[in-house]
Amino acid sequence: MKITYDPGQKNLETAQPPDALSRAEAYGVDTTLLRLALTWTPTQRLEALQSMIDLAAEAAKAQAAKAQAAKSQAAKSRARCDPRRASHDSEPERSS
Amino acid sequence: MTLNLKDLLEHLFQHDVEFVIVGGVAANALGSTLATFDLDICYARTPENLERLAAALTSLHATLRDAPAGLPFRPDAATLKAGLNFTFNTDLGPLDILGEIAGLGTYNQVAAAAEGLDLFGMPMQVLTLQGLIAAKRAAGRPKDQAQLLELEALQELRTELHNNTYSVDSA
Repeated sequence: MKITYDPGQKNLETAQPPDALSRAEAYGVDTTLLRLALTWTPTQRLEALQSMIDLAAEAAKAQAAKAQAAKSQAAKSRARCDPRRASHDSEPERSS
Repeated sequence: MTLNLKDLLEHLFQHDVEFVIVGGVAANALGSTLATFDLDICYARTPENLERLAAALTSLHATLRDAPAGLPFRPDAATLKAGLNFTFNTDLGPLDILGEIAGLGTYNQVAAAAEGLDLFGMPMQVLTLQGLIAAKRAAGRPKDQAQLLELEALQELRTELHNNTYSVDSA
């Protein structure tokens, strides 16, 4: 029996497997972007890749800075809520 | 260190290293739109090329990636000869050097499946779409599925483009 790839095609004898473009599109590949990339030179394509790499690096750096700021903030909050510190802070002043 | 593609390729080119660009960078040079963050090359394992590659790696302060910190390593020709595939961090970003590629073979087979492209004004050897597809199929990793489908789509688009150009030219 012939294997069909397209559930919309009822006749297994005449069913054709989808072409590479349809398979890729079904998987979420943006073939419009591929068509556009093919109008560029190989160097232009690598320049676009370099831009993606640089953007990802910037995003990672910003993310790390944000995580570091959150960590510092959490440490400050913990220090403020520290019972030892709280009891120290609330110690009654000694009368002279 | 973030990959600096142009400078890394230039560095290898200036050291006369005999290599073929493979992996994600090759795929991007041929039209893929999937991001990659390292440069993969397949290198010739002749004594002369190992010397040139070792010199290029040394001047880039190459260290083994994912190896325990402080693990002594010197990328000299003898070390490269003793191994086959290495993953490095360098001053110009991550670089993977492969002595052979599953589905294709050693450097000579990979070079036979490569095409010459001008990249950043330098003549470079880049693995063809057919070669990349063969390598991805041989690797058979689930994570390569999206790239494999994209490469096959690219191949079809290039054929379509070629046929259209041909029919326009011959009209």
